[in-house]
Order: sequence, then structure tokens, then C-alpha cells
Amino acid sequence: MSQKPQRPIPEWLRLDNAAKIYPAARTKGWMPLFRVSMTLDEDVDEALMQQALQATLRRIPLFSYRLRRGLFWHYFERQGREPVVEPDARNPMLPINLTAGRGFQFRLRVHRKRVALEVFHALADGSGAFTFLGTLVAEYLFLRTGERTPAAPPVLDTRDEPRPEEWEDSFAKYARGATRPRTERKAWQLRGTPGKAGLLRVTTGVMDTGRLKEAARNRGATVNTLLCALLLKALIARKAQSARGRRRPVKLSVPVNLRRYYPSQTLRNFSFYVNVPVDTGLGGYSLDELIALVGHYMGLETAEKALNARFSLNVQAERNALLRAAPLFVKTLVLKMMYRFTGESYMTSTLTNLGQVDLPPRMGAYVKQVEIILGPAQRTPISCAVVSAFGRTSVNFSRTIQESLVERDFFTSLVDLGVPVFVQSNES
Amino acid sequence: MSYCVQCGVKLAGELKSCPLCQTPVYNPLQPPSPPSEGAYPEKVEEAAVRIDRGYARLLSLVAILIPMLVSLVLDLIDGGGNWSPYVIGALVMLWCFLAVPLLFSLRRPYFAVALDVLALCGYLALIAALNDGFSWYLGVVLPLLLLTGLIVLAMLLAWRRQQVRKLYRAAVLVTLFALWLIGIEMVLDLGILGGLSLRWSVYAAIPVVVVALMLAGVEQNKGLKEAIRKRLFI
Repeated sequence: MSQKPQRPIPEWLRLDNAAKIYPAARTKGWMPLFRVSMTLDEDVDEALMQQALQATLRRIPLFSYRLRRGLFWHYFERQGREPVVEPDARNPMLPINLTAGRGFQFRLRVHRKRVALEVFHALADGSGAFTFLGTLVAEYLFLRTGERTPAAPPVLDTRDEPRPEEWEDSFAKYARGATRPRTERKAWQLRGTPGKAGLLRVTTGVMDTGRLKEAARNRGATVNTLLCALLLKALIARKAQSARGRRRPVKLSVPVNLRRYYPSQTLRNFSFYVNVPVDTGLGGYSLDELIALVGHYMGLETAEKALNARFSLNVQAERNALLRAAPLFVKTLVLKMMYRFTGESYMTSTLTNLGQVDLPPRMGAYVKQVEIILGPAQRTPISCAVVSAFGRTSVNFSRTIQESLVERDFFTSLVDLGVPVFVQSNES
Repeated sequence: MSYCVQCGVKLAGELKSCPLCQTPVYNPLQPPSPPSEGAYPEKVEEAAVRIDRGYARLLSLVAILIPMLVSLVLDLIDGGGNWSPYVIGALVMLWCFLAVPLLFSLRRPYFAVALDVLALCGYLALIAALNDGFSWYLGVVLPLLLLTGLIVLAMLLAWRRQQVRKLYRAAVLVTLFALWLIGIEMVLDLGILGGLSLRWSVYAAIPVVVVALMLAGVEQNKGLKEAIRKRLFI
């Protein structure tokens, strides 16, 4: 299995096109994070996990890089130090201190049977993070049981050498000349009573994937379309009770994994998003109408050409000579403003659906639950993340406000559609 | 494990209430499992305070010391030592104006205002000393600055009395403004003319005091206040 490295692992890397905005957008109390986790069949042995982490970092060196400031751009610098497995906390995803300590851009946390990986979005997207976590857990299971899980994406073999395709900037590679403008209508913003600072409220609903698929099929929808429509329905219900921003549409941001369209093997960011708008000024919407709307809109916007034209605009902006020549602090200011005025203001909430994570069947005997949680956004108070594995789907809501009405509408609608939901939460 | 009677979802064993609707879980056959067996640990992590004010203060000192030293050295190379005190004094004053309120955790603004007045007094004293002009400084500038500083401090003190109604506070502020006008003429008369003859300041102060009385009167008369609010609301 072992191969010779095609190129040495670079000492430093440029940030990929999507990652460039994240170091600039972060503030003193906030940074864009997400968390992927797996719950095993028995309590995690921290010492073994530490060993597994070492082996995984050797195979996936991208996760060893730390963020540094250059004169013109941020960059990733390789480091030889090792991160330490940390105990988990009730409030996940507090900002990672990127300068103090070891300066890693991720945290590996353990609580009883669960191992969780919290990642700064500049480093990787959900797909890359699942590859890292899958490889880590496969290595851990090998150390625990002595049996090696055969490598198959997203799990990599830790005995193999790292490959340059794994840290390539796929945006730059696949961008073309044609572009589309990024201006959109601003979205209605959900507001609520702010919760305690630093305490992200997480509500997880676990359900049988088969039942969910059946409920979607009964409505003539895919699982993703059904979940988007249900979340939009819950958000529209909240908007109906709000006096603000009546003319603004409710918009759901749905990330799209670009690896579906291109043969990319990068573990870094390679996803884009579609903001699905619902103009509530036109009247009320039934669930079937929302399903049709989401299905048609996503069908149109997730065409390869449409997506390519949108991310190509970002790549062209990055190549602009004037922008490149501007010092980092000027770029930071510009990108901060862009994120503020065009990023989150175009969405009411996010629903990221990683879909089915095809872990090797052997891991199914040990991995009981797979989860993804989005960190708090800067302005939108509630986000939703979905992932399925081994016949179970987990839907995770993370919110910074006290009101749980959106999740309630969402999960009770699923129960009404005949999908039993098992709910967990970090609220005591 | 219990189901929420409101939402119909199955709840994790450690939950004492439904996280979706906050309905308490009551199941005599199956009491909640201990929190230590829950999906999340009990420990709540505190967010690290990212602002290191001590470091920022040090950095701000270094930031003004460098141009100070550069200008001093250049001035000495020029052979005079003539202009660098102006630059150094201005930088010190600027540091007092900007760095003190931003980099020191001051709960009340009085110290910062007093320091600003003193810094301005000091810088103008430096200019006076370098130009042999203490007569204009001591006779006019220093009293004017001290008067303005005192009036601003009194205004801040009055405005920060939250328990006093807004229009009363506004009346006090306007009255202090009138006093400031009179004070200015007094200082100018004594400093420049050598004798006191109050004229223009009294004419200016009379309408200002009338405005103050009107504000207090409106605050006193609830009916009038309400009538004004009714017609002018935005």
C-alpha cells in the first residue's frame, strides 16, 4: 500500500479561495467553527486516542499547519508539534486561540464514548474534517482491536504517504472565465433573547434514515429537499410573528459539496452555497409548495455552470492585482466588510447536509452515532447541520438565542410525518 | 427514556425537561439518569478574554516613543533642539487623549477628562515657555482651560445622575453653559482689559437660562410634556 511521496510536504501553504475570508471575518469573541463527532460503542481511551492522533497527523499533515500573518496574506505554516486530546465541555465551540499554545486550528475533544473534532473553517470543510475524523477513529479502532479497517474514502490508510492533491486549492484549479454577480436580496433576520455569551445551545435529533427517506418519498422529495422545506416552514412561522423586516425574504443557505462535480481529492475547503429565498410577501406556503420551491431552485442553482460561475468570481477577485498588492490589514478590513454586508446578511439560517457518510461497514460495529454541528454564526442565531451514517440521521441545531421554537416546529413536523425523533441536548 | 407529552419526541435519559418546549419530564417509572451519563459533560468552559490591555498599553508607549526619539535625534543633528519639544509634547498629549480612555479600564470618565485638560494645559505651557509668553498663558489661557475643564466635569457629573429626570438634567447642562459664557468674559476682562465689566456674556446667558427654565418647567408640567410628546413623536 505504501507509496513514495510525489512531492515533499510544503513548509507553508497559501490559504484556499474560500478560506481567505475566515481569518479576516473573525472577531475577538467569534470565529467560524464547526464540529464533527463520532460516538463509539465504549468509553474512549484518551492515551490510545493520542497515539491515533499522532498517526493520523502523519498521514494528513494539513491539520498540523498553523495560521500566520504575512505582509499581504495570511498563510499556513507547518509545525512539528503535537496537539493534545482535550476533555469535552458542555458548551462546545468556544473560539480556538490560534496564536497561544500550540496554535493548531482544530481541537480534539473526548467525552465518554464520543470523540469530537472542532475545526476552524479556514483549514477544511465538513468533508475534509470527516476524512480526518474517520481516519483517526479507524486508527484508534486498529490500536484498540488490532484489526485494521480497510481504507476506503473517506477513511485513509495511515500507512500511506500524504498526497499533494489533498492540500490543493481546488477553487483555483477548477475556476473558469465566466462569472456571475454575487449581489442578492438581503434576508430577513431571526432575532431572539440572547443566551449567555459563550454558551452555544445544541439540540440533536436522531432518526432512522429509512423512515426519513420514506417520508421524503411520500412527498415526492429528496431527504435534503424535505429537511430544507421543513426548516424554511419553521422560519416562516417565526417571521409571521415578527414585526421587523416584513419585506425581506426568508433565505436558507445550503452549502453544496463541489467534490460532487469535480474529481477533487482536496481535504481543504471545496464547497459553495446556494441561498434559497422564499418571498413571504406573496402569501403563505404549504409544505408541498416549499418542497417544490426548494427542489426547483436547488435544481437550477446547483447546476455545475451556475456554481462554477459564482466561485470563479471569487477566484478572479483574489487574482486582482490591486487587491493582491494591498497590505494584509487593508485586505482584512475589506474582507470583514464583505462578510458583514454580503455574507450572513443574505441568509436567515443555514442547513448543511453532508448526506450519507460512507464509512467502511466494519466501523459500523463500533461507531454508534455520527454528528456534525455548526458553530455560532456572527449574526444568524440558529444553524442546522445534518449527517447520516449506518442507517441513522442526526440533525443538529445550534443556536445562540434562548428560544427553541424553530427546532420545535422542525422536529414536531417530522414526528407528524411519521418519523420518530430521539432528542438530545446540552441544556440541563 | 420518556417522550415529551407536547412534542412527541423521545427524550434522552438525562433530560429533566424537553429542550424543545421546556415541558418537565415526569415519569415515575423511569426517573432521569444522572447528568454525568448525559451526552455532554457538566463542565462549562469559560471564554478566554482576548484583549490584553497591558500589552496594548506597552505597545502604545513604544509607538509614541519611537517618533519621539527620532525627532529628538534629528533635531539634535540639526544642531538646535528647537522643534523637537513641540513634537514630543504633542505626542504625549495625543497619548493622553487617545490611549488613556481606550486602553485603561476607566469606569467613570472624570479622570480621563481631567487628564485631557491637564495635558492641554501642559502642552500650551510648554509652547509658552519656549516662546517667552507666560503672560498670555497665565492671564488668559490657563484660566480659560481650567474653567472649561471644570464646566465639562460638572456637566458630566450632572448628566450621569440617572435617577434625575432627563429634562432636569438638560436644564442643569444648559445653565452650566450659561455660567461658562459668563466665566469666559470674566477671564478675558480680567486677563486682557484688567477690569471686570460683564456685557455680552450676560446677553448671551439670558436666553440660555430661559431655555433652562423652560426645560425644567416642561418636566414639572406632566400635561404639557405629554401634549408635546403626543404631537412630536416620531
